[in-house]
Amino acid sequence: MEAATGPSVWGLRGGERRLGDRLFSGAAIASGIAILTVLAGVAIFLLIQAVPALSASTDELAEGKGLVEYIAPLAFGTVLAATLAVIIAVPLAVAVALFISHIAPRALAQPLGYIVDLLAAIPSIVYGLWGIFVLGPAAVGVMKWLEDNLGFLPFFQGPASVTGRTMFVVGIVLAVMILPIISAVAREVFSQAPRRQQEGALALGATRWEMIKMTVLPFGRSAVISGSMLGLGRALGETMAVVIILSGSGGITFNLIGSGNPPTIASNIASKFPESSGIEVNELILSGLVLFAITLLVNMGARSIISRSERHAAEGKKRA
Amino acid sequence: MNSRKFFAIGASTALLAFGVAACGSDDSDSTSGGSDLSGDIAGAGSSAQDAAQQAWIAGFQTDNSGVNIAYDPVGSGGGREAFIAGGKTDYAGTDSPFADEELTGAEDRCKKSGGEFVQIPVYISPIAVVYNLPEVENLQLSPDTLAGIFAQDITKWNDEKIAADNPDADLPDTDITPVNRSDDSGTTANFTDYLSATAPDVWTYPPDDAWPVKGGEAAEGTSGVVEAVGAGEGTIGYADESQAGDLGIASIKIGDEYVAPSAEGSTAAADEAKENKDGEYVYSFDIDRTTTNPDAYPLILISSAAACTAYDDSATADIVKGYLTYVISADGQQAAADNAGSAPISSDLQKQLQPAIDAIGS
Amino acid sequence: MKEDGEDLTETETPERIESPVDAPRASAAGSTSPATAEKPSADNRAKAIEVSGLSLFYGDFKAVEDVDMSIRPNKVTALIGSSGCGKTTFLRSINRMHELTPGARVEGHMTLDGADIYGPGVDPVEVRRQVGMVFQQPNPFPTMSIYENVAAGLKLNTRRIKKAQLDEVVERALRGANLWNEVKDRLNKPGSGLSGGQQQRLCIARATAVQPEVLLMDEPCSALDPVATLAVEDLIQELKKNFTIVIVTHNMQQASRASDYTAFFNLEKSGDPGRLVEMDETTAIFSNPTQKATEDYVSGRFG
Repeated sequence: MEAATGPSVWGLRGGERRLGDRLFSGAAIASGIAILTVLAGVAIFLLIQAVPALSASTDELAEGKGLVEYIAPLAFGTVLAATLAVIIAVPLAVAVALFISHIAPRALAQPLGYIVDLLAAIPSIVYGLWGIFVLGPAAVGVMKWLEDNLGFLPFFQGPASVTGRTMFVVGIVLAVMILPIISAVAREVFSQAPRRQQEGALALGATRWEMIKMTVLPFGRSAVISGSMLGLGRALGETMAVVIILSGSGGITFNLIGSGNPPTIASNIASKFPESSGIEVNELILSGLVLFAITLLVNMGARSIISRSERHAAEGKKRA
Repeated sequence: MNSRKFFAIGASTALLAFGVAACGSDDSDSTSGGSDLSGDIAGAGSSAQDAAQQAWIAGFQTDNSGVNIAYDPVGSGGGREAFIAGGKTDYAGTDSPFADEELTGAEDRCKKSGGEFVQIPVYISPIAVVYNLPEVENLQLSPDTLAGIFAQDITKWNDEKIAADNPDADLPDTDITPVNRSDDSGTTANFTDYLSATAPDVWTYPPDDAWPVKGGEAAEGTSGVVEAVGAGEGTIGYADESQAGDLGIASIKIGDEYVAPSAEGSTAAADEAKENKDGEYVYSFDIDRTTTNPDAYPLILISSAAACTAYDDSATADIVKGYLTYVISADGQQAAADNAGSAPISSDLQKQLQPAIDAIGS
Repeated sequence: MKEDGEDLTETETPERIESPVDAPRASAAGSTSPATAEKPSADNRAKAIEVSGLSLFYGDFKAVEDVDMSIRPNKVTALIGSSGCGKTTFLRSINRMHELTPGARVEGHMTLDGADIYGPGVDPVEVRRQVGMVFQQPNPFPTMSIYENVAAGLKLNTRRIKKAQLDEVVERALRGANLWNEVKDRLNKPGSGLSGGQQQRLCIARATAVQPEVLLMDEPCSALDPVATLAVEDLIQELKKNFTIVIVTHNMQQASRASDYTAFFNLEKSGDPGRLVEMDETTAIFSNPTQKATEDYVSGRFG
């Protein structure tokens, strides 16, 4: 305590810092504030622009529907498409990540990793075109088969689309789009799985797959979850691919293979905005606010899962 | 609503920058164009007009090398809002006429520069009913049948109502997949207007930019509809005739005959249309969808240009005037027909509209 | 991961082995060394290992050259030698862990109770189920409870095992590892919550629960404090009633305290392959080695 009042033996008095430090912390603070300002600005913009729609009467609104009636199918379609994509993508991404980190010979693993990463570099509009010209037509036969053989499930009740512009195809395309992010996160963590635990499992007489189940997957579990959340976030907001592919002419339905699918919020905005005017624009912005809220919730969920697993890891290390 | 403004300003600022740059490089020979017009104007609006606008701009700038015109196909609604907001949007292209508050807004905008609002038809496009049914080469449809198909009341191609229109055709037992636009569109507005006028008992929905029937196949844009119809068998949709490609085009029943879309028929239908005037220079047309004249094809879209008679800058007014004069001229209409597959407006209509253009800048 | 065991040349015949034990099981009871007076228990599963002409490679690098060795059942065999002399590599070749390193391969013969470990068509997974291993660092599975850790290997070997039976095996393994009393009240707590010594004994319980025939230990006490080390050494004396034990250690006192036989590995200079210099009863190695290098090493004048 007494030493603090006198001049420091190190020649630096309290509060005096070097120029470089000051510049760096200034720049860092400014960047942080700028990002928060932009985020707040977007949120405020959405709120202000959405308010007129809230007070408008039903017949002023698009399609003469109430707000809930209008936005609920959109929100449903958004969540359905993104969930479907995650359900398809996660097992694939985990398999790809495991193949690269643990199964493929090194000479094959690295190029394969690059190729998977390259999938993320393809613009979404290209995915959309691929979906509509290649995957959609190719899926017509599959969807017909699903309707004929699994039609008792609500997902495949049909009638199957003859053009392939369905939620089913959108789910697959979105899955391919989010595969790289999930698999990259998973791969990174899988390859850091502690070697001594893997050897421990093998020495017990585990096969490679049993070893992976016992050590690598539990170790990478939280990474897979947070990668999936990131993927889900991307799938929720994906616009162009969905606009191009999806025949969004329906309401809330679990039927994945028909023509009448619920559109997603983002695709609906992209599709309706150019020809909208007046209160309808406010309504679209309100739907954007709903999407913003959904995405925010997903990201917060991912954050909390990641930080919880980090805390677990830290506690584990302390004990060990 | 302000969002629209950001959007339009952003877009036209970018275009303006481009225009200025191009202008700078042209300065040395700006007098060689054969006119003394020089400057930039910008328009925004209907994406249906885009191909025609590009043809007009190219044609007009050839004769007036000092002029730079930029057209941003943001959509009709966006074009109307940008025009009302003023700023850099000197003219607009719109598939639906300005109505109600929009009309008031447009008048107010022009009043600020001491002018009046001008709205004239510039672009006529036949809408074709396209289908994909390899077995049937010349599909014929009466309005009631057409409306029944799109209302999803008729679900099989061998339905007796379709058979009645096509006594000679061998109709398959295929499901019908009607394809509509997923985006709001003037094409949809005109098609639904046609259905509600010609088949009011079957088609009970009001005309609208947005497709009113749930559960059909929805596709983004004209190209999306054409692609969807091409992709699946048993599909039927509606699209600008020029975009129909090698899809089958149905003939629709007019009077006692089945008529395929044609430029002549569309021009004739536009001539037959009832003229409305919402102001001295504000033209809009009610197309007679129920015409029984088999020489007219009433399933058309008439798209308009919007401008003011006065601008803050008289050079702008001169360019707008010159440009619109060219647009409705025989040369301009031919350029649009060649590039966009539109139907030309008749010389009678052109003469009728010219005074509105002449009022600009005077 | 080439398994070059199949490419054995027939010139290296078992006759070359100077085997002190021909019928391991029968002779185990008879040839008791001073350190092991106890009789093998009823659970005795210990088997002998015969090694002849064994060389181990990492790619082009020969890590261990031409080892001939007999490892007796129900005995503790210590492998000693300076760092990098190949003793851990040799240890890992006994349960075919060596080949997990990309590019690693094996030449020569190694049999477990007469069965060729590197024979054609031998599944390394099966070998590892019979030859358990304990590592330098305690490595319990962090996401599993103490109970699950011990049961982990059993669930691999026996697909469907009754809960009651599993409970019994887990308790026996934990008792066998002198850990039962310390953990019986918290079997469902994570294994990573135990102390280092407890964790290592948990790993021993995990390895013994699957009833292997041989237990390999790679410097099992190097990460432990002296008290925990002593506990593990006591445990080793218990375990040899049922298993053949091979232990790598840097600790001379540990080798002399805990082992019956000692094998000394050495290498001429860096870059050369490690060789087995000599192997004998531990008392002989420490009191009367035949090789100068051995004498230098055990007396601390070397390495």
